[in-house]
Amino acid sequence: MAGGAWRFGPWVWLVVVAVRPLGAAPTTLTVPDLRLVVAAQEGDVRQVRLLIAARVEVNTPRPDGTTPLMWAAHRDDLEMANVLLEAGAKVDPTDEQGVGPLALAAENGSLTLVNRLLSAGADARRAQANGVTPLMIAARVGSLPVVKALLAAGADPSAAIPSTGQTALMWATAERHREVVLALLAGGANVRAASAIGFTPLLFAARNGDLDTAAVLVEAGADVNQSGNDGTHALPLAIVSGHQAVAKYLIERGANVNGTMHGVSALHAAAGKVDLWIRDWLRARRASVDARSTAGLPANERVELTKLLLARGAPVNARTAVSTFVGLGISGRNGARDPISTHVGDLKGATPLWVAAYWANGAGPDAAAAVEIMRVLLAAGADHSATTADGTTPLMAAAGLGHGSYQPGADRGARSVSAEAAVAALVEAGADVNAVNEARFTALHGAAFRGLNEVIEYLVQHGASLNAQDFRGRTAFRIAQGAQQGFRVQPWPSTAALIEKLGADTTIGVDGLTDERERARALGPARSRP
Amino acid sequence: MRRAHIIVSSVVALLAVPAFRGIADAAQAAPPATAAPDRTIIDRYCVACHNDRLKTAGLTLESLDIADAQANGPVLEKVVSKIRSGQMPPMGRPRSDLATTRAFAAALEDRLDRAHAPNPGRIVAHRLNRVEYVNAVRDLLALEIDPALLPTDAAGINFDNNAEGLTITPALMSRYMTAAGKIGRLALGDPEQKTASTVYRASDFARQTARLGDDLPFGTHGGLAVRHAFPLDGQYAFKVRLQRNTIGDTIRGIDDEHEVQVRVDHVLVERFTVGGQYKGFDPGLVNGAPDDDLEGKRLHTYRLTADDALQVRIPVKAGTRLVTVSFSDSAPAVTENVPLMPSSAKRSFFTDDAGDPGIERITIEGPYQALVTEDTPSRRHIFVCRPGPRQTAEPCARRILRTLARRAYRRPVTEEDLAELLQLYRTGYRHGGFEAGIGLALEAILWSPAFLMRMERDPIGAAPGSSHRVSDLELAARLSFFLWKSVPDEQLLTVAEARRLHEPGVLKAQVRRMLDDRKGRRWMVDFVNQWLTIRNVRSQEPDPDLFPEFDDSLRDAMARETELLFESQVREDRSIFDLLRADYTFVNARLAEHYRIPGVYGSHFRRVTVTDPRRVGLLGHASVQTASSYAHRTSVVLRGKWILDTLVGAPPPPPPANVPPLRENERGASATSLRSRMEQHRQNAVCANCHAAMDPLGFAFENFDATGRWRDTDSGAAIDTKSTMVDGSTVDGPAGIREYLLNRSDQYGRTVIRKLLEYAVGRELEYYDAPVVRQIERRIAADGQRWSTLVMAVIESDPFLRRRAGEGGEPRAER
Repeated sequence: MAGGAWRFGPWVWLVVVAVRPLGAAPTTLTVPDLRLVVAAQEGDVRQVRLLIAARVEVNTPRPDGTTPLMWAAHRDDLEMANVLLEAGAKVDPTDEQGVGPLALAAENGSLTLVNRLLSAGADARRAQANGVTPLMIAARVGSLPVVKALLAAGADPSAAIPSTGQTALMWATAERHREVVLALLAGGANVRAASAIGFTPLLFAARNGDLDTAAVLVEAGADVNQSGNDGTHALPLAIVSGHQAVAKYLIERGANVNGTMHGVSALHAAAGKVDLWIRDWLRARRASVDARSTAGLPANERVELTKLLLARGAPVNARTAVSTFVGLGISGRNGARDPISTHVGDLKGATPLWVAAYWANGAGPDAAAAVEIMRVLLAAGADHSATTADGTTPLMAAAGLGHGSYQPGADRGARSVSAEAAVAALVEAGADVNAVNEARFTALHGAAFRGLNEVIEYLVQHGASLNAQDFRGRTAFRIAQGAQQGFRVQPWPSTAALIEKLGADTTIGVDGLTDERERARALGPARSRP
Repeated sequence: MRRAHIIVSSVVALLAVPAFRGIADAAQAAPPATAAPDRTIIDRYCVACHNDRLKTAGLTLESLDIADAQANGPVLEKVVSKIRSGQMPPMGRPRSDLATTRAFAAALEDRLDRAHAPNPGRIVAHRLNRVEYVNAVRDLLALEIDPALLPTDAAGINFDNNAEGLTITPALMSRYMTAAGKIGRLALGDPEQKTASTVYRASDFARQTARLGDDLPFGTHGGLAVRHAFPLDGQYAFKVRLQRNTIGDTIRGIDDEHEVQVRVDHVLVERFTVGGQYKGFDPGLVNGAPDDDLEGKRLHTYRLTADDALQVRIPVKAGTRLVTVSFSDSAPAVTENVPLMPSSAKRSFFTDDAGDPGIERITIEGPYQALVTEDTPSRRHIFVCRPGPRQTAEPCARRILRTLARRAYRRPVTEEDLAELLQLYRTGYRHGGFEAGIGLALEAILWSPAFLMRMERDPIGAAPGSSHRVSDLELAARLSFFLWKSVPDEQLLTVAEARRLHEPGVLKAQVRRMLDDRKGRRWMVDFVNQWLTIRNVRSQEPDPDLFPEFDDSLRDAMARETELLFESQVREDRSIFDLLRADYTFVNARLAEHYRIPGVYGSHFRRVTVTDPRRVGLLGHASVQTASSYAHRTSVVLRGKWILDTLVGAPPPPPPANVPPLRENERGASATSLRSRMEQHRQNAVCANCHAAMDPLGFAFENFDATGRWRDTDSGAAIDTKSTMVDGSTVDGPAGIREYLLNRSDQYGRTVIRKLLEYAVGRELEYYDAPVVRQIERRIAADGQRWSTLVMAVIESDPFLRRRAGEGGEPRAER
């Protein structure tokens, strides 16, 4: 019985199992003997040998289809693999997902095991149920010897995964394995393949800023102007990803400076961060809705690239092509009238000047660079009156529309020297200080929302109408008293005092804070924030 | 039968074991006589403070006879310990050079060793700790129980098997009785079992984009794997719930179609398809879709409830089975995105319909339409016989209960034991038949003090304070609770009952067998987690804004790396010093990403060579660096203290009350490095006394941030890792500390020995254990300081093999 027998170790088990005790009822169903596959999973070579010697079936899989040989491959255990193969293990079994020993050996980048399996007849072309091949896995892992071995054994370098359209070459490029890229190209991989969403191998290299690999791909015939299936062009992609060297290389090799990415041109991308305009592009690639791209190009590179693009004929007044709203996809129905919209609506149709003006309203080297870019663009003929679809002009964006502020307890907004310079540049170029957008906001309202006293003074000096009212009837003074921005209400007492001093009519409308509170009350207690 | 055992064991002993030296050899390895300790050292460097008038720290050495180790043992052991670790003389006071100090310490130790009256110490009666209880139930009844049946053990005293901490309170006893009832019913299969519902949650902050482990099928990612005890044959319902977004409670990643697999013991139970309908903007997310927007309402409802369909009901046979849920790799892809700012898993649950989905939990409900089955592993363990049709059941019951009780109580079962159990059996039999009777008696076994308590008896006639060998059965228990964290198995019990276990050859053979056994892994994992405080990593929560990449997968991988390194060191029988200088480690994809080692894919751990000299050995592990940091920054003091505690054996005293917090870097002001902010430790003499020992150790590791990643600057300031140790030597960086520790083998080596001895024996070490530690040190020095020699030396030491008799008043026993 079990109580005493297992003192003696595995041998007795074999006896007990193989020889049925007298009187036991005969079983009608055969239970598969999983001891070998369990021993293989645990890496117990000694036990595996014992079981094979006892004639246990060497190909018996676990209920999910994994075989002992697969475990040997997964553990990179050559000794066990040899033992199993010599005992007759099938070399190409697959589990219920179609994964087999060769794929597992490729994931480890194990040349010894891959060679052993290939020499035993493993099929280098066999794909899993989802279309992944061992070559793709080896390409992703970056194991050059394994990739070469698989190619030599007939693996198809251009095989693609049906659902995503991605290939081994794309995987190698994405993971920056340059030597593997070379080997795949030498093996005949299709350098112009495109994925289902839209990337080509070159687009991966552009995204990575991997100049060496990009050059390899272009030399092998990649077309610098081949867009992905969704029209993403390599040049704006490289710029958005923050890689100046690759962008310059692409230009040198004839990239079309008109190329766009989700309706955003290279010049837009150089002028400033374009996250707002590529939000749906990001979401289509599973980025979460609050994802932000990295800082991108440093300030001086932005300026340099802008000049370069203009010199190559990039259209200075290109307009973005896709609707987009500030407000994380929550607002949109009411455009600039929506309380959490930060007072702008659909920003489709922004020009590079608009983008630069937007970022000029800030602090630090990026905002300063934005001002310089604006000057360059204006000198090249940028149209200061070109608005976004909601009617917002670059001047309004530079003054503060589209940006939210929340600094509880602060007297006024943090000063933005770049915003002042940007506003001045636009006004000197002839921008209309009294233009209104779809919600009747003016540049002065924008500066009041941001508490930018210096910008307010400048605008007023240059003819801004001090008492202009927005769609709710608020003047700049009321806004400075207190206005909702995004989800919160922000008062700027010092700004309000300045506007009053400049001569605003302080009797128009209702006190800003009172107004907001009344609105909140009108909407009901549970929904004090609309 | 018995002779066969003896023959088999002897044959095994002869064949299986390399030649070990016995206890007698260890005694012969004592050092040759040295000169008397030099009194002038004490007079010159110590008596200035430790004199009769000042009595600094309550100690005077002025008129102490340092050659009289017999009378002054405790004080002299303390003196030796302090001067070896360099804590005394304090920093800034004159001290002798290293060679002189060592010679003086050696001379003192020689005296102490010679005068040493063997005192094996005494372990008080104590209960099993939780780990031991769970393992014992598993080994006795082939049953996995949920550790949450019992409260966690107090973490106060060094190791959680310390006898002083393992007391029984009435509240705890009542938990044991409840647990015994549940376990009994689970083991036998209770026909009255009501339908129950168990929920297993996946961690919210583990990435579910890769395959999580070998329990899950290839070609899948994410999800969870649990071992669930199905109490009876019957129908069970499995319900899967997907992870939600923070805003609006909608399902993550529901925009795309996904396939979820549920498996029991690797058999596919069901493939579910979920997601991918009604794409687009969700009007109901924040505001609520207007009543006339039927399309929007349908979309929003789908986003909230799409996983209601993820349930299935199937028949399952009783037993502990592996249940897994995971996503099929339907569309494996490299991401085609622009580079994104890293965002912590704790932050990015905002609203993520387009992101990657996750399994939140699986609920297992049942049994419905249950049947008690004849055949589960637990029932096979229990029912070693069945009452025949015409015989009375009681002889079989006796046999069953005797078998169970013998293993549970770790000794032969007496008639009194059986009488108690049979009484309960008869009560149960009257009410419910044979199995009910067995069940009641089994419960009694599980809450019996003979099972729960580890009690050792002094021999009849032993003089109080005398030393005696523990009995073979007590030794078997000590061995199995040390190496297997559980009760002895059949072979060990049989050898002990035959009173053979204490024989050196037999003992070595059994130890070898126990280490080779699969269960021999348990002490390694348990010891390394406690000794190196690695288990603190599992509760560490680095600030998600400062360390956005930190998640649960990384946390688990870090801890596992250190466990695997330690295991490999022991299994490969390396020198204990190799732990510090191992040029290899174990990584999986997640950990390799953290260390920036390229080319490692997959969740399984594989051995890699470490070429970076800054990462060599244990001190290069992220686990060690993370366990000794705060959530928002590194801590020089914690790291220094960690090294002093775990590797040097010179723990600093606790800080005084009212120490003000460290000045943090303020926003806007120019950032300063941690080091410069800690200058006050050096400037204030009271602080310097202890911090002179801790801070230099911590500074050396400042290049590792609070999650163990390498960095070259701290808040923009360059990092300076050069420091001066308390004994005047200088070190620079992790490699410097490593060299420092390796050159002070007496400190590190003795600390390892002390920690292992403390762990094996289950009590804190006292001054009279110091000679034992030194004896072990000499013994392992002759054999390359290998782990196998150390383990054997600990087992063959007096504290393990022997016991000091108490003052009387406790029950005594025959040997």
